[in-house]
Amino acid sequence: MFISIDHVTKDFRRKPGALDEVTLDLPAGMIGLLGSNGAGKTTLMRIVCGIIEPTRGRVLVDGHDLSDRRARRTLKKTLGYLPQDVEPYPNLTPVEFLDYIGVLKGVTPRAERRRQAHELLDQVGLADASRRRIGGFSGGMRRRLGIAQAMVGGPRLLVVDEPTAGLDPEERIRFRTLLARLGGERTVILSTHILDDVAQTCPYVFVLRDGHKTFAGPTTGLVDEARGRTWLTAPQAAPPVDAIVVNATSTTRGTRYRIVTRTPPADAEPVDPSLEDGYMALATKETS
Amino acid sequence: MTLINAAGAHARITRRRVWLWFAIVPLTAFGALLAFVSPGAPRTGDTPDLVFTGQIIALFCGAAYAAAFTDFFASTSRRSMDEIEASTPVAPPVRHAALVLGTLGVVLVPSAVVLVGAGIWQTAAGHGAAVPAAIAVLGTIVLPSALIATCLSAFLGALLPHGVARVAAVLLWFGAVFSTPLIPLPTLNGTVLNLVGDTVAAGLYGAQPLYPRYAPTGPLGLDAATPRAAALSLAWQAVLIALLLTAGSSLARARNRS
Ligand SMILES: Nc1ncnc2c1ncn2[C@@H]1O[C@H](COP(=O)(O)OP(=O)(O)OP(=O)(O)O)[C@@H](O)[C@H]1O
Ligand SMILES: [Mg+2]
Repeated sequence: MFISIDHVTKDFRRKPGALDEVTLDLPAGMIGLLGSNGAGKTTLMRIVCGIIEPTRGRVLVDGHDLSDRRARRTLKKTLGYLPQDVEPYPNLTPVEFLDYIGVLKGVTPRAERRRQAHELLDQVGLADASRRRIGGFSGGMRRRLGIAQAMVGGPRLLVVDEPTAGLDPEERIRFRTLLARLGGERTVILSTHILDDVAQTCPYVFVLRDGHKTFAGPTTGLVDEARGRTWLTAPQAAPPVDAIVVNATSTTRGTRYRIVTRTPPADAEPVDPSLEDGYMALATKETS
Repeated sequence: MTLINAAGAHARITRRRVWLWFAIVPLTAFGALLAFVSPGAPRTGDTPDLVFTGQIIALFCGAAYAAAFTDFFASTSRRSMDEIEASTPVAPPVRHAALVLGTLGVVLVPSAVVLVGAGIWQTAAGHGAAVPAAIAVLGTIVLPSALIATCLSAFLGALLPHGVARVAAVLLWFGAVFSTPLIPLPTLNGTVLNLVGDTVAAGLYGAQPLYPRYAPTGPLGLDAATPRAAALSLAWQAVLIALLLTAGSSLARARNRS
């Protein structure tokens, strides 16, 4: 599935320019979508899913314009979407809920929907809770059910909005692995604030900031933004004012800082940049 | 098939909403009691009694549906579910129709119990076809009016803030029901909306209308007591339901998109 976002702008009444002239070609495989709060990640995902329409610009899926209703319908037949906050109907059980989603996605017959429901619940670790009402679920359990819901019908395009927020580390890693396994010939768009998730699973990454695209390319390219500029230092006083402090660790011998800067202090030792360093370098490049 | 299955899921969700039963059951019981003790009741011991009971229940429960279902199409509390549903290939009007049908299929159960119960009672008293008659009354009088009340509520909810929509829907419901005989507007068959099935009652079941008869002032000049007028009234109600449903559905969509 080839998705092309062409000069997409979205003006909300109370927020003009929530997306501003965003142009992107999405490759197959896992794509990370990064950006600060309010950058426009959710808005972009809703547009790609055909849930809202852009004010200007267009989205092409395999060459078909999503402003056409038939193209939207075709896309939605092979789409799985996990919104940012999932609140499934509280008085259904997970199996009943997944069955309902299967109905909407056109999975037939009922036996197949039930089979998928149980298989997915097993994959997200909810098999034990399959007979309980969703209303009694914890936030993390609801989130996992949301993930299962997005995978009903084996979609070719999976759009997941901060799927790992609120999961415990074990669950997060499990989910990451699950997503990576799903990757392959699928296109998976994963928005997140957890850079580690992107570093571990997404070969490709986009960064949005205030509705603008600020980076699109291989994840290693984003790391390279900080290459040759990342240092460890333990200054006597505060770190240099023009440096970006990515990390600070207190030790018995004072505080050690991980900084990104072009002008390191004399005592600084160079280190290999991480995705975090690259992201911070990019973020501050914009503002300065 | 999708419609039926999706309606089934909504029926299940509705069935498990305890508070809804606390509202609908007493109201239905109240309507049934009122129909039973009302001096206006026909007391023929057969179909006209069923019709009268059905109309009174439709009148009271209609107000409850009008108040209850303003969040159907424009739910802020279920926004993420709306989005999940919107990301599936099912067209919004079909999804919304499934919601309405599934929900009504459940909330009409108390009305059905009262009517069929009355039918069984009448059968025991020697009126042969009372149970089929009760089911017919349910389908032609209670169901259409419940659909109108629900779709009106959902439509107003998509148009106005929920609190305002609730009040407006109930006022509009009672207004439309009670003003019918008082304001003889020239409409299709002489009444404003025929919400609780007077035309159908008279035309199909030979029952006395709830309201005193008004001269048929409609453009078609229909005599209100014929099966033809009843069929036209039903068709008009179906059109009204479809209009409210599609208008509410597209309004809600437009609002979600802006
Ligand atoms: N329906 C809407 N109406 C008005 N403004 C909106 C709407 N949806 C989003 N916005 C605004 O558009 C901007 C982008 O929002 P969006 O939800 O896409 O950001 P995000 O990158 O997903 O942020 P977060 O990381 O906090 O989830 C924000 O300023 C937000 O307030
Ligand atoms: Mg978001």
